[in-house]
Amino acid sequence: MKLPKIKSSIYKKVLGMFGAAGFLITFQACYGTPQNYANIEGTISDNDTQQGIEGLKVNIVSDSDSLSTVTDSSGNFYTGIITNDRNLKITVEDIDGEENGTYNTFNTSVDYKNELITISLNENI
Amino acid sequence: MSLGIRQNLVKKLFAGFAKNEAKLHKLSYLFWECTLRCNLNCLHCGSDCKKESQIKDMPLEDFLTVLREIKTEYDPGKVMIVLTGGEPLMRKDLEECGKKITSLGYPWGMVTNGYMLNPDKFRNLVNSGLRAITLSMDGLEENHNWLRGNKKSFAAVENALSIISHEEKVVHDVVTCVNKRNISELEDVRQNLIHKGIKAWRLFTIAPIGRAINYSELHLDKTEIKYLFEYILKCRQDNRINTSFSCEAYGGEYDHQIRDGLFFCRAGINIGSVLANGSVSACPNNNPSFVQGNIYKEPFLNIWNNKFDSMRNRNWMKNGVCKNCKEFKYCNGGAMHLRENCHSETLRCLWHELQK
Repeated sequence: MKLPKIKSSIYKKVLGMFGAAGFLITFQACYGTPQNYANIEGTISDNDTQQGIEGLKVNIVSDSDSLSTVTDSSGNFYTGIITNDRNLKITVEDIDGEENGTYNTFNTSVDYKNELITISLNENI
Repeated sequence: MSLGIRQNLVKKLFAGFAKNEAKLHKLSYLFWECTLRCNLNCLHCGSDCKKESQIKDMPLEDFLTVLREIKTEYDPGKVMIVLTGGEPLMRKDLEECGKKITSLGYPWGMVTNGYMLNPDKFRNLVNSGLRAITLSMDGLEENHNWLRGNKKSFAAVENALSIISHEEKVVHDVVTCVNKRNISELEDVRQNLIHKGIKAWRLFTIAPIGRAINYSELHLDKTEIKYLFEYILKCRQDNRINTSFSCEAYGGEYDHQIRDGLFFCRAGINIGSVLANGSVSACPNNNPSFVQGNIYKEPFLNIWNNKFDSMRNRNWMKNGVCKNCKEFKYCNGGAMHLRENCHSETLRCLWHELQK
């Protein structure tokens, strides 16, 4: 299953470049309900090395929900959140001390349109 | 209407993505046909439901066993559970079902005719974790009640829409099955929904399956299909209500403009269902010949992981009007619910009809 997973990630990135990532991440079965949550997918990387940062806590707050997740070994995060207007507030916290580098808390707001969220952070040296 | 280079490229990339998704076949949407009992008598019912079904409701615990099993391989937060029927509100333990599904970490929603919905019931369902709801409004009063086979149905759904429209924790949409009788009053329906504060409206044609086969008035002709697509295009130009064509069919040159995504029938690829008798299929309205197994005979994940070949490789669908169709690479033979078995031709192709 590894090759299709890699391919899936490449398709998402390329379609995202064409502004069509929204076609991929959420869907609705034709006789089902809407998925009421946005599937949030993103990557957090180091600004200098461009490498994904593991172990960052990502707090996401929407108009009607809030939750947290942690980046994986490639700096990726993926979660679902209830949202009606899709305006999200994201806070990234370094929760593992010096392991995987040290980063200041970062805040941002996004008008989420199903695109892949990319965040670059500067390491504290 | 010709497609630009960008749209063509996106279509080709998306076709590759869809093929790859079939290889991955990651479950992300699971229907539970929680009852076959229904309080209406719709002319177009695909389930052929009745007030008193021969098949008893599946005990909640049996479905929870499936959810616990799925949780061993999937993050439950990424699998949407959708309760359907029959009419889910016929189940007296619906809140209990919702609470238990939520406690396992799954988001859940339901498709309902809204007839039995009242403010207290809705509040209890929201408190049980309800996250999404779909209601049907099939025209103005006379035509809605005709299709639904009940004189009080329109008043009931009007009431239900007022109840759900301002609940922020629950996403909603309204479905309209377009037919020869109601196609001329779509704008009145739309204005009514906007007035009620409804945020999303999905338009369907009616598939020639189930009871709908017997009623010619339910099926649109070429001129009406074109009118419907053009009407949706027009509606999508203003933001007062998010209007879209359902993902029931490939729309050819219209496809990228009449809904938020391109056509991709995910039945058996990302969508599964547990039917009232324990059968495992893709969408509940798929022909019974596509049932892949039964939860009372083998674990759900054995079935999901190892079967569904006819849905994940759809080359067999290249027959009938699809045989030499240049669009096959984009539609993959159309929607699964329009095939009667894994040798049959599609019962209908809207794009093909538009070309005639």
